[in-house]
Amino acid sequence: MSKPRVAVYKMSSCAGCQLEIINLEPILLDLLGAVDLSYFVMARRENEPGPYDIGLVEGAITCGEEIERLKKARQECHLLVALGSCACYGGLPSIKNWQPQRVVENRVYDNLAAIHSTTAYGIDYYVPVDAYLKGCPVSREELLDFIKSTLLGVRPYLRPHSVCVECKLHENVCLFVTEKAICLGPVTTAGCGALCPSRGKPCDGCRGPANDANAVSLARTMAAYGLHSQDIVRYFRKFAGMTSEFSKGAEAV
Amino acid sequence: MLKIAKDKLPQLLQAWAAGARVFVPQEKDGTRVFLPWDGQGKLTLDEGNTLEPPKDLFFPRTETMYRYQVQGQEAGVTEVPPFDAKMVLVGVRSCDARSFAIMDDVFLTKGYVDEFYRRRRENTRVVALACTEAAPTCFCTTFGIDPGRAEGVDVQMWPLADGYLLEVVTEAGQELLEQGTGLLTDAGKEEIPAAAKPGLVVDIDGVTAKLQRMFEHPYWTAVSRKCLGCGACTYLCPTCHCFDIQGENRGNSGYKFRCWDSCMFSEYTRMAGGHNPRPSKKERLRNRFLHKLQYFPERYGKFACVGCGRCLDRCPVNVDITRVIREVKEVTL
Ligand code: SF4
Ligand code: SF4
Ligand code: SF4
Ligand code: SF4
Repeated sequence: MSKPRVAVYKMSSCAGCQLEIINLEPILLDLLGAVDLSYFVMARRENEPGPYDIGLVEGAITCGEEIERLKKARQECHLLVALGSCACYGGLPSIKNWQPQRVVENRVYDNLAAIHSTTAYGIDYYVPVDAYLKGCPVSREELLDFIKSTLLGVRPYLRPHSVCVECKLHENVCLFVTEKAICLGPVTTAGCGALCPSRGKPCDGCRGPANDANAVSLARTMAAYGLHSQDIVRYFRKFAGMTSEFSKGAEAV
Repeated sequence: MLKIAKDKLPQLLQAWAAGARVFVPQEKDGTRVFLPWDGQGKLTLDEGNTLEPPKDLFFPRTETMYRYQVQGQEAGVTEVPPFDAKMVLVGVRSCDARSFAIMDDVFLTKGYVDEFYRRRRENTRVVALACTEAAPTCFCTTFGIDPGRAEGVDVQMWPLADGYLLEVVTEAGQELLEQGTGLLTDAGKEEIPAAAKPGLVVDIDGVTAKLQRMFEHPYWTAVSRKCLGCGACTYLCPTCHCFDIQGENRGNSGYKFRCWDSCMFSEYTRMAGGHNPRPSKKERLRNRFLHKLQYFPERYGKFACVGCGRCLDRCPVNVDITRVIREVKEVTL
């Protein structure tokens, strides 16, 4: 049996999630024993054409040219995976969605003649997506688990519950309850191993909404903790403001 | 009745620590927790109950159950060595002492004995400490618990201005106090201090019967609206005992472990195929209250709440079991 062929695409993103693939270094050779990284512009000089078995798409879609490339990627990949929060929900690029397009462009580019950007969306706004690997950046463990499970033909364990669950498994003292720190853990999908709270930093919500997230109640609690409503909005719009769950949080107070 | 001076208590703990692991409330990360006594820590016996209940000493948050390995066509299982250390738990309040009886019901009765729990429980001596002051969230007397005297313990202590009174309750307790010869003096005319009188009292008469008729009531939707599903209430509850069993596999070997779970999480009831009989916070919160106030009394004849107040104190959105009890009684059916 030939090795499954994997393609990695980049849209509007910081390349941090692709870097996490390269950061799998200690086991990268084992991984290359099992799959063929056929198309990975960041890591290979020469790349092979499709079709591919698995396509990992990094980045939000922010212009027409990306929509075209995304549609092509969908056609040439058997499984299409959103790699990281930008591809899942728009991620950090989506913070621009609440300001007029030209104002944002003007801040970054000198010559606006060639700029035709669109609202930043996750890739599932344009094409069907088979799996979501959340996080800013993606969790290496989860990425690996996903690849392994896919090769074995079993369903990968992508945690649907909140970061709090993993945080409690790590036996952390809860920052939100005990220190009244603003923590998005209760509404954010687990899978990062409660990375931030385990190091004493409240969760920023980079992985987007957990299943059954009660963002409205959390937003009200943040207000009760003394946070200004503008800041509450910023918290909920930082990584996944385009999701219906987090937009409820942003609009609650 | 015996007495120990406050400055001698560390020596008594030291004496016990020679033959057992001694756990006593101490300061950690700005909170009070049961920690092993190493002679260095800051005791918090006079500052009210611990933030976390002592249940993890009998029922650890994460516990390896067995290991396995595969070699070629052979597979084998290695048992973990059974827990056989002796433990002494010092400074257990009456509410938490009752919680041990509730945990015993779950893990040791009805024809099923959980060996992991049994080993720890049977190897442990409990030295209780009476409360002379109650926190605003304490409501133990609601469940017939006496803050001045704990049930099912080996030694009972009472705080005095300059030390503690100690009374032997069981033979094992007698042995413990014998180890303190030279440190303990006769209490003489010293009086047992008056027990705390929690100001928070709820009328729980008839709550179970009422709840039996409220499963479908819209009240649960209202009460669950605020809940974040953070699970703080169940992790801090001395009587919550649900666990999950999972495996950790690496190459050709791995282990199975159990770890605390919580009915406040959607994963808890999600089936392999994706169906979830408790799909929203409404069903989950309802389960937590019904378990404490209806299912447990039906099965074991006692409430599974001890009125320690931890959940109402720590819930970030103030979901309060005492208010739930009151409101349930007021609901018209
Ligand atoms: S620190 Fe944050 S993530 Fe951890 S339990 Fe508390 S709220 Fe949840
Ligand atoms: S704890 Fe929150 S912010 Fe930190 S990595 Fe996990 S999801 Fe992202
Ligand atoms: S502590 Fe409060 S918010 Fe958290 S799960 Fe319990 S009831 Fe819900
Ligand atoms: S339900 Fe709340 S008050 Fe009752 S025993 Fe549990 S933590 Fe304590």
